[in-house]
Amino acid sequence: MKSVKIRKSPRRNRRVFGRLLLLIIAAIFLVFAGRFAYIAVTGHIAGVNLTKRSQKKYKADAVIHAQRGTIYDSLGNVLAQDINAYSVYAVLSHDYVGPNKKPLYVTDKKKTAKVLSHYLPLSAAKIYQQLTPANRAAYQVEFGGAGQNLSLSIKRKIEKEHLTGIYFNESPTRLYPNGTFASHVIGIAQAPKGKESNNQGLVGVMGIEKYFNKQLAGQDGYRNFARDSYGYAINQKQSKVKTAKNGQDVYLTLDSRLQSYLESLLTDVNKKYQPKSMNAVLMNAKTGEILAASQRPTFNASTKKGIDSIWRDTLVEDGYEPGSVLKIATLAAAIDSGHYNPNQYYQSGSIEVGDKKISDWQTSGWGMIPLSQAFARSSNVGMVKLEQTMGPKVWQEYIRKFGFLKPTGIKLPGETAGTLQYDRPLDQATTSFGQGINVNVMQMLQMTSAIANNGTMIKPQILSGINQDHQLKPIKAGKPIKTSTAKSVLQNMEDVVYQDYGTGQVYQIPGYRVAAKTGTAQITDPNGGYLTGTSNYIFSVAGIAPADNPQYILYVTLKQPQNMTDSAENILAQIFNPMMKRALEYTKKAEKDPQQQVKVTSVISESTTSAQKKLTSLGLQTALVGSGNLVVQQLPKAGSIILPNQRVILMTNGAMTMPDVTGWSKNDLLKLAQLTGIEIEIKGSGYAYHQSLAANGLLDGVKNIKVQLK
Amino acid sequence: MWKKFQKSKIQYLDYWLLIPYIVLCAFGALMVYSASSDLMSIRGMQPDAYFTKQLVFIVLGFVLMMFTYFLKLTVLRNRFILFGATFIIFLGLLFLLGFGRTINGAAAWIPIGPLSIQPSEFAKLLIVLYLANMLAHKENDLTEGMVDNLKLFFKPVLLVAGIIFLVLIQPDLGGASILAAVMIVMFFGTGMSYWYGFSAITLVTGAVTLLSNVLRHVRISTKVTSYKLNRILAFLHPFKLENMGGSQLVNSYYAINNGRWFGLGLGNSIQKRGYLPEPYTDFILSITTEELGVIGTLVILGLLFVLLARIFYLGIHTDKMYYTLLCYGIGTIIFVQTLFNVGGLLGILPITGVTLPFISYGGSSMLVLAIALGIVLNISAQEKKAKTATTS
Repeated sequence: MKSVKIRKSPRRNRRVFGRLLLLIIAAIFLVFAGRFAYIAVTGHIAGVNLTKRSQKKYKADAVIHAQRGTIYDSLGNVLAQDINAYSVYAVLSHDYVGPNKKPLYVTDKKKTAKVLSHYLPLSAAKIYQQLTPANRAAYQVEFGGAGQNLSLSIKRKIEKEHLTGIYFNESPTRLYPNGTFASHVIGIAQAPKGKESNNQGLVGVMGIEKYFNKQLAGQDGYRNFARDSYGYAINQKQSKVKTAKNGQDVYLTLDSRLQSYLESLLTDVNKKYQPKSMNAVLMNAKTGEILAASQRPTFNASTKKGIDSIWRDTLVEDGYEPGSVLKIATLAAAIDSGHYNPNQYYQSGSIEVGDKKISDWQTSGWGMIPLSQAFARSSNVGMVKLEQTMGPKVWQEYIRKFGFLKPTGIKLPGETAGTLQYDRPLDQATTSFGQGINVNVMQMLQMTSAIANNGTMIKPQILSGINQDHQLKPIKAGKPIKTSTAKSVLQNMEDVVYQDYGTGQVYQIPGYRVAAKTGTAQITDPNGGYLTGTSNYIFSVAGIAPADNPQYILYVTLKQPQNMTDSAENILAQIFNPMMKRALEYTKKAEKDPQQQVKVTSVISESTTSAQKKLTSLGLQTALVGSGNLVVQQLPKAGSIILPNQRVILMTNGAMTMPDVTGWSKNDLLKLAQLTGIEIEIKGSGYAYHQSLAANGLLDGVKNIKVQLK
Repeated sequence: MWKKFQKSKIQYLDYWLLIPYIVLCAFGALMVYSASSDLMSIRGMQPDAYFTKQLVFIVLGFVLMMFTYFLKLTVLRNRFILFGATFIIFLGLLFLLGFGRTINGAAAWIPIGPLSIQPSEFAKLLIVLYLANMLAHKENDLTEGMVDNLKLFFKPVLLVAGIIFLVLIQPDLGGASILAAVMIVMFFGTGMSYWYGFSAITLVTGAVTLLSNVLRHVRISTKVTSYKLNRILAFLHPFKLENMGGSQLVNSYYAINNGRWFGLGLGNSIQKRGYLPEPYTDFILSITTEELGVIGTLVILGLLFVLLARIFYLGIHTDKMYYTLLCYGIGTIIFVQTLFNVGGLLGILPITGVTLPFISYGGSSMLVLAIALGIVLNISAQEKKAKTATTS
């Protein structure tokens, strides 16, 4: 009886249980159906509008990014360029698998580390360490700076190794190949902060990058249909494409050779004497081209190190009291307006203006001296005398004529106009030696250009042109003074350097005639009056050379050296003299053999035949790496100045092949190595006669080539 | 004789099972082609590479299903075969644990020639066969009490628990959950008071609901280190964790939303082109909804439900405990896989990487399901035959 019941009820239980399960299944299927319908119809999940969100995403993916223009120096060297940089990362999580649970993470860490060490500046052991993080739950790892900013060719090489779990992120990056190099002038472009950077182009936030952002940025194009994340059109029939308009190239007047030299000089002085700030600008006296310009503190544009120390381009954005260098203008105004009698004697040392005493830098003065010595001795009293003779109206007129109180119009962002305090006679008097007037560095250069150019003032220019059209035209900024005036001021500036009473004797450069004016400007104390102390000044010098035929104007300022172990003139001379000398030597060399130099033109993207024809017509030799029909790279780069008959190596599309290097110089071989990335072992000296890899041999995969010279 | 028997068995074919199965497979192959062809050509492979493979598996599956259909079901209760198969699966799982990690990580497949076999897929069916056999053997000793039954079935349940553990530490949470569900259903389906089963299901559902509600209030961290946790939590806050594992669900939502009722048309999915990873496996139903609309998806879900309902119907109506347990077990495999897959892409459950039965691309799964259906078809035929025998 009992057993029957037991047997029967389990069957009943099973049936009821089965029906129960089926009921649950039916209920869950209904929930699914409802959920599908809900998502599809309302289009909202957790308050998020799915349609809006996905359309936005598709639209963003449909943007065709314009490439940002390149910034070149006057020789065609790249100062800033858009590149696609890649950063490598390794996925470690075992959750990352493909279909069939195929691993998409790093499976062989030792091998991966070894292979990666061939391409990254890290040892295999270090990479292995990164691949085995202490935190075992880490999903993916990166390799710090070593794994970033990889070039396309390195990325391709790594990809060819077929390592599982190794992936790349691509990001448009602005490359500043020279590091610390007119950093605040060129500026930087970066992805706008706080936005999804991958859908945004770069924006210039400083310097030329900012001023010419519109031209450099170009215009993004778009496809007006939705695109997938691989970039393929979803419905090609409706495709309407607006191609991206790439940004225009910007050519600057800077000369990389001089700029690099200036940077190294400034860096040395900066390290030794630790000034609060420095500015230095070298300008072509005849054309107004800014050849080199920099400031301290500055930053390294490729690493961005130091960028937060100062964001201002102090060359144009900072107004300051120039001090005695402004006496150039005072003297010029007095001479030009006929109020200068060089033989008139005056009592130096001090003078009362209003109820205030104005003193010379040597407070005891030099006794009774003629006005002709006032400029070279940098006598404040002498300048006040000149100003008083001219009268405030005439002097103010010349301040205006010299271009002060309004921006020079140099194409850099945020140029300050300057200010003038001119109400009281005391103010009018102090202006004569550069106090009570605020100027910027470019205004000072512009003013000095009038002296160098027989009275005609030349606008300082940093931009030589945009796109192909980059022939700089000098712009005259009026003629504030007569030719004769300019000549006698120049003579006075020479006296500063060559008279035994001149304040700038330290600026003599053997072999060249230099004209200069020194300055020691007081710094306004925020608490009223001026700061005191031996180093609390802006020391400066403005020089013209050669004095008989002015080529260059160099202006250097140095603010508050914190480690003043030398006199201010001696510190400034460590920048002024070598810099001016280097510039003068370049001119001399160019004048000596004007025919002996060739400027390489760009032949990239041209057919090999037309490229070879073009370069041969310049008197250069060519050599092809590869058997393609288009030039993709060249070395030396466009704009480089080289000697005739030198070899320009052209890399073509398609596979790289070995050229016949017979007769090549060591220099040519090094260029080949640089271009192909293949190590070339050079034995002997002279010219090549034997190569380990035969001509037209494939270079792919070759690691080392031996070449013998004799 | 054998031929005659075969012929006679053909007439017992259960079309409630066969037709939904064939339509689902065809639907699946079509969607696999649509979802994978673009990706294939982008990866530089033949656009129909996966489609062709899937067709091969469907045909192979069909052959295996018919083979199982004509098989005598007693063969599946043969000790040597069952133990042998269990032994092989055990070995396979141990192999994955031991060597899998060093050779190819925690991948759940073993390469055998051109094929790769997923032992955990076969483990599902084997557990059903094994448990059904072991539990049905003790039919005569059954009682209504749970404790008594637990004692009775202690050994087989322990063995199955061992296999589940091996799958769990692979790690394959989805696979282990399916196996556990099968074990629980079959254990409570033996005939003990259905209140126990009902309570167990209520308990599990309640616990899951409670847990997800607790997790919903866990403060989410956006640190990379908490990736694993975030991946589980992602389904609760997909938009907040879009870059931390939530993007799959977000893109699944986009796909469903793009589809609306009638879809963008076959082949027109946007989301399959790189937005949704593996559109031909885990998220094939999202892509289906995008291309064929909610209507198309409801057809698939409807067919799956017909299939499930038929399997459970057979289990409910047979008098043989062995058959019942086989039906419940196989039904549970299909149902739980559907639950995890669809629940995942709808944001109801975490995404566990479980494929959709008959539709998703995948060889092992297709073959196992075909064999399982062959078994159910066989049961159906046996029942029909028995019925005709008693009535005639």
